[in-house]
Amino acid sequence: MKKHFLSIFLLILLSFTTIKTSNAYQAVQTLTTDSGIDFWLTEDKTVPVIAINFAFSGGITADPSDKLGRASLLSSMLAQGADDLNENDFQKMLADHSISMHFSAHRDHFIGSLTTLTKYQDLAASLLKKTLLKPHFSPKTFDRIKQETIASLRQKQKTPSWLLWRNFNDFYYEDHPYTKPGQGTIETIEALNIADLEDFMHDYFAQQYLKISIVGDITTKDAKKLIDTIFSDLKKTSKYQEIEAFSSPSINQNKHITLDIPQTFILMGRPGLGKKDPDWAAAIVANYLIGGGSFNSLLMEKVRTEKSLSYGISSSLLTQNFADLFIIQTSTSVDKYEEMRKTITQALNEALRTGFTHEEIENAKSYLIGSLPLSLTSTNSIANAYLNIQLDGLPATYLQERANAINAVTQNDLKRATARLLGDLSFTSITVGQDRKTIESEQAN
Amino acid sequence: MAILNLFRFLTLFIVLLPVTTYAGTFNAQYDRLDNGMEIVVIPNHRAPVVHHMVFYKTGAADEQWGKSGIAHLFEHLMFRGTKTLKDGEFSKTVARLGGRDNAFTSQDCTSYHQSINKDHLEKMMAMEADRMINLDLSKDNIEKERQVVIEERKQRLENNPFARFYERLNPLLYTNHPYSIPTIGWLHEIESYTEDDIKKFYQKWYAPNNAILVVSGDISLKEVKLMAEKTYGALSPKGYFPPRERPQIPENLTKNMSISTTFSDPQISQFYWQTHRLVPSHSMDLKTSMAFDIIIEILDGNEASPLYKTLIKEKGKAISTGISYDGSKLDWGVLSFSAVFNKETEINDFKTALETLLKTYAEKGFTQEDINNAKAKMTDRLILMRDDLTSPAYIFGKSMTSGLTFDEIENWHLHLEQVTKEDIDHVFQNYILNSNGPNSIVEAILMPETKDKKEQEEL
Repeated sequence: MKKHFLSIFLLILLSFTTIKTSNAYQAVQTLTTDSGIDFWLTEDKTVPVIAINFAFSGGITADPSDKLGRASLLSSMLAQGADDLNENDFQKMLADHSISMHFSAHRDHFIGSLTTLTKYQDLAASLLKKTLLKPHFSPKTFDRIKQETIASLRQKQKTPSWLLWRNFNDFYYEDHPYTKPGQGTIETIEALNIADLEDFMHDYFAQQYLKISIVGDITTKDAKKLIDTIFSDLKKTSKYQEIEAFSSPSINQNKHITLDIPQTFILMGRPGLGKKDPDWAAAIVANYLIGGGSFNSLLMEKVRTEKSLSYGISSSLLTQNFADLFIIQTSTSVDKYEEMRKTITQALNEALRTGFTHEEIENAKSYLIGSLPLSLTSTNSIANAYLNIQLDGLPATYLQERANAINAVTQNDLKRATARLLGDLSFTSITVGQDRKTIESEQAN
Repeated sequence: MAILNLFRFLTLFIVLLPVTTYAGTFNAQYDRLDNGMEIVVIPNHRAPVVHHMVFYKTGAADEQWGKSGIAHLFEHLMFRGTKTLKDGEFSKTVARLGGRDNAFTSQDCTSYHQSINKDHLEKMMAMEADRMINLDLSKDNIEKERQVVIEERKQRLENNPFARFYERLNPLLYTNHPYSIPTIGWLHEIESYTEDDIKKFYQKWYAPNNAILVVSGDISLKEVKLMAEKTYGALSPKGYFPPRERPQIPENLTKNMSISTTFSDPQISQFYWQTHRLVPSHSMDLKTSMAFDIIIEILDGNEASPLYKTLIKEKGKAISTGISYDGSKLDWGVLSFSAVFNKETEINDFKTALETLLKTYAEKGFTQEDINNAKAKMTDRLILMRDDLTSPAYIFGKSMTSGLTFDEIENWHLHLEQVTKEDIDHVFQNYILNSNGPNSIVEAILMPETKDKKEQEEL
């Protein structure tokens, strides 16, 4: 009797392992709670951990122009006490139970994340609920966080990457709300007050447009209960309004910002294409081959492997709700700048005219499909992936559909997508580094 | 018969038990190949993927004097092809199989790693074993990669005011010690080493018995060992590795010296104050190093902990502050205090307040409640660490190449449990209130460039 019992036990164990390993992507369930809130659940019992990532619509683009930095400052002010718990008690409660709660402001969304050990799930849920409904904004804390934000912004403003993106956004998006600086400016941060943060919460912390992704060691029943505990008392409707899509960039412009460093940083951008575009899968492959694929990309081959002009160069597809871009970034020694420019142009011309071989395309497809599970190896990364799919308005089956679509990309599809991404090779281009005129005159001396 | 069956039942049950309960910190397993290569496997069955790492017990601190950065340049050259694999083909093969690869060099180790579907693990091992002995070190490849490294040095170090700061600070902290030299090397030395230097470096350190194989993911030790025997197992061990010398700091010179220095930089906007002192690392003294971890958890674990709560929230003495300890080293670790200010004049006031705070702990010691609470949080966080595929593999490789044993890491939570209140109070007295390390405390301030200001004042 015991022997049989054991065999069955072993059999169950073995078959369980087989089921788990034959799935490349964890199964997602799209569910609704008793109170009517939709969410996506991925059950995963690898470790006793649960992660909840969620997003409200409304973010940086909703900052009024004299209150820039509002959404971002709110993200730093949450988790500083709530309801019956003062700042220190609240933070101690999180820390003592290793619960992490984070908020971040994005252009079109306000995103929150909660990670907890399964054994503390009820406590974690109640702390998040208190934060969303009754956060403390004490004037003393508000002032402290403001000073911290200003100090960090002041330092950031002297970094090449901040200068590149700040100037690029100003230049590329013209009058569109996407020019708004996420952290605000020192002046607008100083002018913000507590009521501004409360306005944001009042307008956008709502069940309407709310997207939730929960992953980890939790059952369907408990997940429903947990989501209802956290979100069911939020008001139903949001004041979020879509902004106009940005469609007419003024590309083919260059701007240089002076900074006394040994390299020149380069950021180039032009219109890209979005995830619902019929050429999306082909664009993923094209970007990989042009500059997205690290050592397997044309730009890296020419710029680093052949000419040693840089430690790295990359291209990327930046997809957002109201503007899609194709971006190239690199840095090189000041005296190699001209050669770098020439090499990039030659490489992009080669991508357009010569294109890529059948073998290169098949290798790219093999990487893009095969590597996906590598991004889904922690509770948080899975939660984040499935939240982003929802924010893009894509179905729960997207990962499988993406794989199928990439698999079906032909050489002609790739040619068309490359032509759409690179166009006439005109870019909005920002450089940060030493003033090149000074260098030239020094060399002339 | 019945007894025998029961016995079998129990045996089976005991074998199965570790699968379902939480036995070690990481539930990792250890073995060794006949040629001396060590193996660590950390099973994690979330997805059908593995993270494959090879750690060499050599890093920047093992370089010959005057050849700084050669370990790192060599790491780059490992991607440039072998006798049978074309230049760049290593990474291309990994990518074609749906994997990602990279490598890094630190003071005490060099590591190469790939994340990939478990079906391709043996192929990764075969390629990694190939480049352990068959690297093609052509002159052309060396020159090209030397230029790339010079660009890397500029991009990551010379462009960055904080990196520039540490490059100037470390020689003050580590007198007569290789840790004073940046891992990437001094520019003029990167430009100087010859083909022969590089070949000698390869000969000296790269062999299976100077390497540790770490695999985490959807796999068992048995499977890993079979593949490792076929690939790495075919390589011959080397007879001799030079001792990993870390020259000693001349105590009579540095001990009673007070070092305080200021660096100004046009790319800096705030006043960054720090003190650094050398203290035992994990491998030098595990108990002492764990006491540091516990003390920091108590004093500075979160924003409700005494350091931030008292000095920042209640007294507003700085913009932010923190204590950190880097103990993952073969030789001396570093304990640091830091704070950020808007004005230089605020620094002294902060230092007085910090001293007062530390003195309260000197008088009453740490409470058993604080200690238990810190240990519980640290143990909980070990569970969170297992959530990820790469972190546990990194921790094993990094720690074992800097002198810890497999058992010390696998039983981390048990060692943590054994640190007593007496240990903690003693370490606090010896290393935090007083500096009983080999060196005096180094105080450094990184601040905005003041030249213009001075000129204005003079006018």
